[in-house]
Amino acid sequence: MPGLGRFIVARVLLAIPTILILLTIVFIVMRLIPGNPILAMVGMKAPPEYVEELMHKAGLDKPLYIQYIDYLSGIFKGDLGRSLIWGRRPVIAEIMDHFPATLELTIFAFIIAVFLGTTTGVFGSSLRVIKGWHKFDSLMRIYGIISWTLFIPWIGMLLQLIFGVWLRVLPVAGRIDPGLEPPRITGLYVIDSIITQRWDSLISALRHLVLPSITLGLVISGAFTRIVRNNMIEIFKQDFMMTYKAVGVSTWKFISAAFRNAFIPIMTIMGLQFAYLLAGAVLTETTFSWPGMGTFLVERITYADYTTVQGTVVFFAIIVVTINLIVDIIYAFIDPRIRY
Amino acid sequence: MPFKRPTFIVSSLIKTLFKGKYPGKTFLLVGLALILPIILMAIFAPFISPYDPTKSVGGPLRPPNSPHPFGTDNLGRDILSRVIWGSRVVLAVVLLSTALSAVVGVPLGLLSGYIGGKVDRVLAMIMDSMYAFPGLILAIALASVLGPSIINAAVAIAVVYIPIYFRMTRGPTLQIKEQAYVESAYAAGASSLRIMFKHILPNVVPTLSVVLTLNMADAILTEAGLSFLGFVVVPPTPDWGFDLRAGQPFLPAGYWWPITFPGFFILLLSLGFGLIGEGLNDMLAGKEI
Repeated sequence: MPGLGRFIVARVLLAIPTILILLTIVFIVMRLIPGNPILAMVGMKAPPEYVEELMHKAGLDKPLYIQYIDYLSGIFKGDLGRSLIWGRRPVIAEIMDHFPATLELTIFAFIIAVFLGTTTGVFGSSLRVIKGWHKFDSLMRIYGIISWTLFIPWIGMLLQLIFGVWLRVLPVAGRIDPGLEPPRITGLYVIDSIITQRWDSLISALRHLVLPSITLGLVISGAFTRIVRNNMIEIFKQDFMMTYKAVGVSTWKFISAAFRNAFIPIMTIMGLQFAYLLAGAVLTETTFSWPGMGTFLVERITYADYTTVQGTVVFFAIIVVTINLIVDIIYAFIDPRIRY
Repeated sequence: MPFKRPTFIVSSLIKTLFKGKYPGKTFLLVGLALILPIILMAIFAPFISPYDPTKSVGGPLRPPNSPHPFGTDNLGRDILSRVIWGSRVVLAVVLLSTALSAVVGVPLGLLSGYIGGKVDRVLAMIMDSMYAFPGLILAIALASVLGPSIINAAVAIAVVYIPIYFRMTRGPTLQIKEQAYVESAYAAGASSLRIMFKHILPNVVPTLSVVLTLNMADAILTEAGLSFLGFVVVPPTPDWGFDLRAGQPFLPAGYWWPITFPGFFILLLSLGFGLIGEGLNDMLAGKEI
């Protein structure tokens, strides 16, 4: 495939400054803490020798530029430092304990958001163009606006109230019933329990996933409705769609032809919303006590576990840049026009 | 152009707003109808709030009834009063943060686009990188190191949104500066500042109004999120997001009112700004889109 290799190289090179800038921003932000971060954690009454020892272990007694170089070289070696509390585990190990939970939640939420966003967007725009149902299309547009402006913890708690408290049909907290955790292979409970054929674990994991992923999916779907609707309307304006209609195809064929043409840009823009999905996941996780990266980050902030907070934010940055890179490369792979 | 008194301009503007026929009118008016009562509520909070929002005025967790239309929370505080006073915190943070990010982002975008060259490319790259980062997570990191306060939360949110204003100003600036009328202004000896603010900026203002309102809708949700996680106010200050968090432990026992009302007002305010943004968008595009 001519050009694709060159595109990938160029795109990867372009990602390097982006990641460097983000890492620098995180470094600066974390150094904005007024006073001494170690002192903030252990309290004013701690003996000074102990504080100094901890400062030394965290590398905070060195000059700033050395700290910066250590920080960057550590990240490139995959070392995010050690946690300041509870056994001082490596931060990367702590993150790996929590990341699968976030990944599982975001995957299911993404599927729900794509389904809701595509259905509302496709039907709204198509029925407007074909049948002249302007009211219906406006309704779909309003759906998009409202779901986008929903506050995640609020809609999450309302779902907890209805399905967990009043109807008592679904669990409202956690990832799985205690004791049913499948053996860790990928860390994604749904996949692990299918691999090990533990059907009770699978059912428990899925039941716990329903409310959080609907909450997050519903809120994200509003942005998807807009993307799908706008792209579909653009396609309907094209000359080839007019020709297609003139030939006299059925309504269904007409809509599916438009959707096939709009599909690639739609999927690309949806893929690029991953950052938005991760931010939403932080609030979803804290609402549902979901043991993922978001809950973890907020918990460690309250303990002032400085290195872990820094490492987690760095991890988020790397994930976002990587996902955007992958989406762009897939797009270039499917659509040769955008390679340069 | 004949001289017109400002009052005349304002009154004719209001007249067109309500009587005129233009696309996006319904969205705009519904949006205004949602946010104006909340803004009035914030301004007149001391006069309309039935109780002190920080004092226990009834039994704990009383359901909505006549002395307490929204019920009381776990400490026996009147939820209606807390909702009324809470609007002040949300609006203060959102207005402050939006003003801050626009004041930094717009001139920076103008300058960057106008100067062009290497400076512009470096600035654009920095802003694009920040834009790629999940906003709420950056705001959490900033707010957590700055500590909980209204000013700090506003600063944290402002930093997150600067790239949006930068991008939406820089793009048009790059195109407009090549136009003949800008070049003729330059030839006539206009200073760079004059060209940027007098000849280029007015072209950006219409889009800016859309971005500003949509951004405020988003800022409300970010503020509520930060507040929910405990990065905006400390007890007993009332704030919608924070009160939602405080009510959550009592949800499993079926106490629905401590979370329902504050959350509903977050939706109303955010939806109000969202609808105004959509309405302005339709109005400027000249059609419903």
